[in-house]
Amino acid sequence: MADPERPATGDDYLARVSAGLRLPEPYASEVRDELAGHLADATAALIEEGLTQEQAEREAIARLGSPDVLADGLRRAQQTRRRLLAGTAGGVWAAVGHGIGGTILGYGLLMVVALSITVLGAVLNRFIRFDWSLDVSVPWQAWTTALAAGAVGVGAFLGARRAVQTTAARSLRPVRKIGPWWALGGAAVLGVWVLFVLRMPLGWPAVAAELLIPLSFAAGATVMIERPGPRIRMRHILVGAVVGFVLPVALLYGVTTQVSKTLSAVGSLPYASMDEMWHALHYDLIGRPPPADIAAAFEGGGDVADGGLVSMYRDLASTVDLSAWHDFRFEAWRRLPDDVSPDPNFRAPFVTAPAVLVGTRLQATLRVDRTPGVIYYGLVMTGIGPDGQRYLLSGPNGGQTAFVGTIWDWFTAQ
Amino acid sequence: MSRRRLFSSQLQKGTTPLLVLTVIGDGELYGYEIARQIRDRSDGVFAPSEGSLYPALHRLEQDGALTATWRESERGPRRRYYRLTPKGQGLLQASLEQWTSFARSVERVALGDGSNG
Repeated sequence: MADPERPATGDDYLARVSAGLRLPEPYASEVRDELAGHLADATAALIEEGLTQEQAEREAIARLGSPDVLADGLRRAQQTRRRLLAGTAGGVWAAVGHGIGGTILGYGLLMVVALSITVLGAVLNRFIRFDWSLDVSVPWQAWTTALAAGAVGVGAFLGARRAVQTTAARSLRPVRKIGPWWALGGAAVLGVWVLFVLRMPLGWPAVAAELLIPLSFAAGATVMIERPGPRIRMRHILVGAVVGFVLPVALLYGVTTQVSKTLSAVGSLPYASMDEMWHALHYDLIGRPPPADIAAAFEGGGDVADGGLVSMYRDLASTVDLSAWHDFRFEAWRRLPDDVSPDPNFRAPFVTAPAVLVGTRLQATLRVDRTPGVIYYGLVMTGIGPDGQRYLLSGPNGGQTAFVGTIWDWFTAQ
Repeated sequence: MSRRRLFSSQLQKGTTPLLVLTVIGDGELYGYEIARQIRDRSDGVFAPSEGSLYPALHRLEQDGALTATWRESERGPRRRYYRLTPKGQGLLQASLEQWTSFARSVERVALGDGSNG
């Protein structure tokens, strides 16, 4: 009785071997030719020994053994360490190339998505009074980081797919065996990068988007990896660049103009007394109003921001006597978005620095980009008077910031 | 598979590269001829599974011990001829020395070399 597992003809046998090889051309066709020659020789020899054509062909097939075992052995013979190294190097190159191209494409795609959401929000606002807006507790720099990280995530996904397919093709190994290694290695490298190296303005959306980069790479290397991935061509990158960069610049110009107009519309409000104003503006959180002579002692000053570092100074009139005062310091407070008043939800400054007296100048440097959640801040100078109370001596002067650091910095600063 | 067949199968698998290098050392051959020469020269004792012959040939080629060339055949499909490289000749020499030493040791243990009485 014929074995149903064993092919009956040479052609069937060769087809089974080819299917089991899972190797690219021209290697696969060379293997088929070599085995076809072998079967022809063996069949001819067996016919000379007295077998019929059919018997000889069956015997020749039987002597070659299982087509699956033979295909497996032939494939393994090609899977050398040298090929794996070359394939891995090719995979790294492909990952970088497709990663960069995919990131530019990702910018374009995300920009289209963002614009679509904005348009949808505007339409809903207009017709069904659906009050929708982005979370304004996140600074715009951090939204930019989230967008950039999202684009890198798209690049990571496409780069990983290309890397796995390149390595598999060059090392003559199946993609499903190569994929998990790329997923582990790539996710580890990218994970270290986003956790400890990449320093960006952060908010929760940006943190989430950055953490998705290694996960996106792992997904790209494993999910439906046996399907051919999209090949990124120059025209895709050009479209992505136009939609992803030119459009945002145009939009940013429009947004900046609108914000400056809003800020310029903020005016001063009348108060019956200093105490009333002090309380209404929440200045009493910072300190008491300064005595008139002390307030007049400060002739001028300034703040110079360099990234997240703000250098502050206040010049003193040379005639003023501050010997009864002590503990002068500069403070940065969370403030309300529309004016310089401290945010009443916070009872203390988020960063302070002692003021150092150099000649007639009190000065200090504060870092304002290391506190998660701070966007609007007000800078003040305070000191403790002869009565032991803290007085607000200068300020507040407003500024804007965003937390800048690595993901690790973000979590350890919470 | 019986123990005897398993032992024989493992022994043949281990010696296939040596047998292949030896017959190709006498001149370039293609796959079917290699299998036939091994069988004929061993009086049928070594009849390597033809299915294990090709992976062994391709592995030796990948290791640089063999080179392969396609030639048209007067009868049937084209043939892939294998030839020893200088590296393959060195490997053959080393394998023969290893095998000789191994076989003598097995013989001494299994049959005794006479020195024990």
